[in-house]
Amino acid sequence: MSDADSGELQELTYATDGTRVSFTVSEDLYPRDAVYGAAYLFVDRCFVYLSRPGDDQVEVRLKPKPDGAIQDLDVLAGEFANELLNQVIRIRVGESTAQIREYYMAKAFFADANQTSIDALLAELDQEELEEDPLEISVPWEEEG
Amino acid sequence: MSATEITLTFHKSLYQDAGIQAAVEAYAGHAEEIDVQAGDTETTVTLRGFHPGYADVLGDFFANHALFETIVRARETLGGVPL
Repeated sequence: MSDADSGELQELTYATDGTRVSFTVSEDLYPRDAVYGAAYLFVDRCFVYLSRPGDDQVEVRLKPKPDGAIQDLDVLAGEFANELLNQVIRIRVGESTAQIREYYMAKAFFADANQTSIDALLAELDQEELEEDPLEISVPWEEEG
Repeated sequence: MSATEITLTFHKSLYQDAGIQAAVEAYAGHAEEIDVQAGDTETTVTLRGFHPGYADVLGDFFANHALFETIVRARETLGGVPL
């Protein structure tokens, strides 16, 4: 994972001292928002600490909480790496569909042809009612006779 | 032997000042003194005067909280819903 130059999927390599596990990821492959997204989901399960060992690199350090559900460091690192990949995919899908989402939003708010025709019909009905009762004074039907 | 002070460093590109400050406020009751020194690239936080029983975990909890607050603020900046 830390070998960003090859661009190929690498097996996660991490270091551990028995109480915590750490690994370094490249921001070229894993944007900071992806790291944040994964960390956000893990802060209630373990201690997460981020540092910057070099330019465009983020070191992620994970340490199980005393009462945490996950105590196995291998499992912790693996699950975090999976979530990291998931977050990267979410970001890329979001970016690739941003334009079409903006198009739909714009169309919904500003260019709804059906709504325009309904408004036209309502305006036409209002116009007819105004012609029948120019002052819009409704007379109770009991008094009409 | 328990530590009498804990020093944490947070890289400014990963931890927002506001997130660290929120953690300082949240943990003010757990340490007699929390000193924050802002450098060019890193912010250093030193906690002193805490219960010896918290020595092993106080720094971890503080760093976790600072990261959480940073992420929440980063998402707000991107248009996310504040918690």
